[in-house]
Amino acid sequence: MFAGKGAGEEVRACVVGCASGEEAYSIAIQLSEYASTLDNAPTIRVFATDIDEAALSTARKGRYPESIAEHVSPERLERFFSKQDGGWQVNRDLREICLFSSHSFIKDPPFSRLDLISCRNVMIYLGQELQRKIISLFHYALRPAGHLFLGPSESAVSQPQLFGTVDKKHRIFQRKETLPRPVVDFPLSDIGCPKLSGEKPRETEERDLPKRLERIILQRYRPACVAVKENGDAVYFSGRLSRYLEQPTGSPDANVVSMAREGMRIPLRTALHRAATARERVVQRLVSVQTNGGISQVDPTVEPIEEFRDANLYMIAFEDASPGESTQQSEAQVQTSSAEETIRHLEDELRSAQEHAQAMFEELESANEELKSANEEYQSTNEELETSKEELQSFNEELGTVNAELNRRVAELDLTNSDLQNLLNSTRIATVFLDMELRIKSFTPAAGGVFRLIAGDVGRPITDLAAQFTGVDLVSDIEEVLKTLTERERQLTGTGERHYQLRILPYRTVKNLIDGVVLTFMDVTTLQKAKRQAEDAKIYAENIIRTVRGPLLVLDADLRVQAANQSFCYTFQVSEDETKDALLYALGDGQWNIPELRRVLGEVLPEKRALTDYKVEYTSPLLGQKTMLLNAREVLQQEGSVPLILLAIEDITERTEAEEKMRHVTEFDEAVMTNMGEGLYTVDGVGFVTSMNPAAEKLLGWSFEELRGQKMHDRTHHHHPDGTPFPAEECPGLQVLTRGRALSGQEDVFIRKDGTFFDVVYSSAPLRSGSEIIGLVVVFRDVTERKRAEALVSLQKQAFEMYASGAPLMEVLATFVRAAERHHPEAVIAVHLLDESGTRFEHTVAPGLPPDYTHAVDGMEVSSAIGPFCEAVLTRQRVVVADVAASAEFPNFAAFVLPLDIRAGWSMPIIASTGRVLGTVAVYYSEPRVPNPASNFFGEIVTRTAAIIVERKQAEEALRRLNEDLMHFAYAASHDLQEPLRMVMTYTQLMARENKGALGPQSDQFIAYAVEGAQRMEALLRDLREYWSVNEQKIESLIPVDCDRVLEKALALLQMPIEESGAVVTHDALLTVIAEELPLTLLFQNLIGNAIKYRRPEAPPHIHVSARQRGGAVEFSVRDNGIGIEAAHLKTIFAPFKRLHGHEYPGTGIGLAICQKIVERYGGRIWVESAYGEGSTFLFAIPAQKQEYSHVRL
Amino acid sequence: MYDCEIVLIEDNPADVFLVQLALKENDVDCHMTTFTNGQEALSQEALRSLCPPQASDTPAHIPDIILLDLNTPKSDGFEVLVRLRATPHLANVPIAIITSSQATSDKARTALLGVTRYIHKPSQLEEFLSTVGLAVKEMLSPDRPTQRADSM
Repeated sequence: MFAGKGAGEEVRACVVGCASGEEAYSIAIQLSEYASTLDNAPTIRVFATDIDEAALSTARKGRYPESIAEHVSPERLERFFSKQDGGWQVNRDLREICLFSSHSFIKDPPFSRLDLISCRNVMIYLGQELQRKIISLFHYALRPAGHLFLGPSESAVSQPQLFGTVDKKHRIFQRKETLPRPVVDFPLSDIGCPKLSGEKPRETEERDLPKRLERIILQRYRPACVAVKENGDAVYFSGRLSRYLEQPTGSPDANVVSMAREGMRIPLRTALHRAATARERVVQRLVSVQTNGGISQVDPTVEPIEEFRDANLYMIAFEDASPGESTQQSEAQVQTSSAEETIRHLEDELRSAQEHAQAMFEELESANEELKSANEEYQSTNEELETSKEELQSFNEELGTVNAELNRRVAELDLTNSDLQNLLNSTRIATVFLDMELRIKSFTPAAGGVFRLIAGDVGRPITDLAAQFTGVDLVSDIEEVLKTLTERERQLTGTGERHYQLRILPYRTVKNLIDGVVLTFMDVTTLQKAKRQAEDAKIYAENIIRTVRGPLLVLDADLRVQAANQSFCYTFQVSEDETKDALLYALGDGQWNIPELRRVLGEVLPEKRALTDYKVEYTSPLLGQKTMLLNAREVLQQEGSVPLILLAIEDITERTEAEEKMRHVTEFDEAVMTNMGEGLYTVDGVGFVTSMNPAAEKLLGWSFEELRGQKMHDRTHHHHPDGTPFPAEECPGLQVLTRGRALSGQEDVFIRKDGTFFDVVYSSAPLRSGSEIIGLVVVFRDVTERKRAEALVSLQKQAFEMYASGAPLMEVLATFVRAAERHHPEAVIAVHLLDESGTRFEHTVAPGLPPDYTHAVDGMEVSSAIGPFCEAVLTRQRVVVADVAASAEFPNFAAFVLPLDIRAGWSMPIIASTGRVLGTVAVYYSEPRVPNPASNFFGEIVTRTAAIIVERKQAEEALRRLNEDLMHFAYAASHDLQEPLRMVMTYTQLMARENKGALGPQSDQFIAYAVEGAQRMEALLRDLREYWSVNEQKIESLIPVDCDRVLEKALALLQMPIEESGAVVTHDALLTVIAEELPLTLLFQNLIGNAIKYRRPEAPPHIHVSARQRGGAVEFSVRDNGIGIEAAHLKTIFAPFKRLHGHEYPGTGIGLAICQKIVERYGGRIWVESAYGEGSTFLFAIPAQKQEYSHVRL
Repeated sequence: MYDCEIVLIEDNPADVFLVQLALKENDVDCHMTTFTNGQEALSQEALRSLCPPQASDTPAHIPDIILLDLNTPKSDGFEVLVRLRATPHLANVPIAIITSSQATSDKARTALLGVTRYIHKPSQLEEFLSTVGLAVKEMLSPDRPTQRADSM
């Protein structure tokens, strides 16, 4: 198999029906073993096919149980298997040789160019026909001289022309070369082949006349013939066949047997079978055929067509037997042929049918298998191709990657190369590379300058050049370096007085191999020069420092003191030696060791940053507290010199202290301005705002930023509260600018940002610069609260006044509540008064609330559950409900007042001076609210006022009631005592008349006393009635009364006593007062009557009546020259029934009491002045104008 | 037979005695019927007795004068006055009020109700007797002018 095959070629084997793959692997192992013995072994490929996918999948895995070790030699196990999970796994290379695919040799197209086919124990399951087909397929699939390996009971000898036997025992066969090549019955060409003789050739024949004639002749005279295949399928029809054949019902069928007419089928099949097996002409005689007309005798002949032997075609010719003979024969046959004949016929027919069916079955099976196998082959080829393609792609990919990597490396190398080149050039360091033989490998351009090297010098030994340098043995140094592999440095002087620093280093390759040396020459000529310049700079600096008066230090970059001047040493008490080269931080007791200072000084040099006025404070035991101002900068000298820092130190301790004091003063001012409660602002000479303190911003609602650049007056003072404009020129505060005199305590109204007004008291003072006024400073205070409080107090006062005027309590309270609400517009007030028992609300005054509220509360029993106004009564404390809706305390109250737009409120008890709770004052708000000082004050004033008014009014009413009771009593007494008194008097008199003289003289006298007493009592009662009658009589209407006329009337009534006493009554012109005529007449009558009555016996009475206007009243006087009144009695003289005298002056003592009553009736008063023994003057004043009792309104 | 028939409505027996004394001392010959209170006077029996069915035949039964004390208990004098005036056969009988009341308003009111005289009871015995006696005499003979005896 391997013969003639070299590397690159393939040995191909196929295992048909591989099952779980053992056979395939075995063949692969054997082939591999053999291949390994060859030098140029061809590639081995084993196709393994099966139609069972499950088996194939097992095979592909290549895993076998441990038990295979019994059948497989250890060497092979080791070479081709690896142990895994208690089994044997086929190695990868072996596995790759084997290609498993689902393929059927019967159905699918076959593989090709195979060297070996192993098809063991497969064909035994197949029919003969199929076996034959497969064998021929195998023949096709194998290469020439390829081998076929079959199972022990199988053979390829059925087709001896295709395979020759190699080893009969082991069933190995070899492909034979046959010519012509047999037609392979490819599974795919199964249908195409038999249709070779289709209709197409006929069309071509028709064009040819002779051929057409021939054809006609043939049609007329030739016998009816059919060319068929072995199985009876018609290939070609010729002649008139309708007598023998007919198309059967059903799908078209070309099979002659099934087309044959009744009676001919069995003989025809038998004949065909016989002809096929014996390959000879077979004639069936006298076959009776059912034709259209009846039964006819036919002799069908079947003959293999030798010309188409390969195609296995047979000719069937139908010839009619001669009619007479046929009938006779037929009849004879019918008669003679017995049942045996029929049975024989039938048996023959049955056998032939069986055979035929078997053959057909086998044929179909094999065709199917072949097709499958062909397809399988294609699939596996396809898979192979796919795999190869992928391999190619991945290989290509790898190549691409490698290529890119290489490109990148090359680019990097280029870059590195050029970097190196640039580096070498830029360092200007002369560098020479030498190889191991000390020959020049390369050098940098700078080296060209040092050694005067040219390109042509590459390759020359360094020894040729070494002589240029003096003072060193260059060559021995290099050799030493190569020997010791350590670097070496040398100072050397080259041509032109240039100094070099030579460094010799071994040259190491990337792989760390020594491959020569590198010489670098550094030109240090300038360095040496710099050194000298540094020295000069130092001296220069030191000289500067010594000449400056302030403390100075010169520091180097490390902050070492390079120089310190004497001033420094003096100031900081150090010697110059101590400072020299000392670190700044180490100086003295380390007072300069300040990290921040270190940082900023460190920046002076590298960042060229000067240090300006850096303040340092420190305390040292030697110097005390010091404040230093540091200035430092780089000392600029000539190019190339060592940079130095010049540090100047200034002692500003004293200056700082002074500044600190100043700052305190300013801070104090600022603190005052910022924290003062008064608003303060300043304006410039034309009124533009220049500053504002926080209080001013808060009070005005404007921030300074908003008002900056605006005129203050135009923003906060432009209108009066009544809405009239307030021009700036009329503003007294601004007039200070022109008048120059400060203004203070000015009361006015400012306007907030939101447009609301507020009361202020402000002062305005000029700001001067020299003699010129450059602006104003205005300080103001919000006095709204004070004004409010004042208003509240005045409200209280008005309430008391109104109360004093005598208006009823409820009216006073209602007026007061309304006024209080006007004063405190956000509140609604209710005053609840308790009854006398203190357990029930009697009256509610709440003019700001709907009547429902009053109705609900009046008559209500005091109970804490009801509401805060009850709670306040019980606790005698203020009860606050900041949010009615949120409080769970008084749910009923909340439900009641929420619809009245009440959200918050507090109730305060009205407590009398006796400690009794008279009621409550409730203050309600429509928004949730917490008490604040203003509302507290308001509430307190209202409550206190209410308390005073209520208490006094109630006391007054109690008094009035008591007074009324007394009056009623007195009235009743004065009337009711009259009747019994009359009885006493009348019957005493009657008794005296009836018994005159009979009772004795003494009794008459007694009766006279009794009557007299009764009469006196009657007079008293009469006067008493008169006194009360002044009270009793209602004031109908007060009118202006002309007192002259009144006096005239009184004098007329007094005519008798005047005449009797000889009194002289004079009077001035009396004025008009508001009163009633009759009581006024009585008043004058009484006073003048008294003056006459109490006259001095020696002097006739002289009485003068006068009047004068005094304030709103008219003051009358009645002066007499009578007995006068002792000073002790002046005060009691107007009391009822007060008598100063005995029986010498008759009367009951009611007269003056009545006078007082009358005067008071008109809101006036009466009093007396008297000198005892000289006379008295009675004076009374009565208002001249009508007095409106209800004029006091709040 | 008496000259006249007088009805006195007065609760105080002391005053009844004084009135009778006053009439006697002034020679008034009369038959006096006395009721001690207004209710009694206004009862059906009282009114019937004052005005019997055969009134037309015996005109003597209709009183010539009614003297009424305003301050009788159990019934307001004014009410009695109104009722008397509303009683047809008494409507035209002259009525004199004798009272101890000081109130001036009472006098005005009684005048409106058709009272002929208003006699204030004087406290002095002699004054009482003369005042009441003369007033009754005057009322009985209206044509004879007499001195006004009523006090203020």
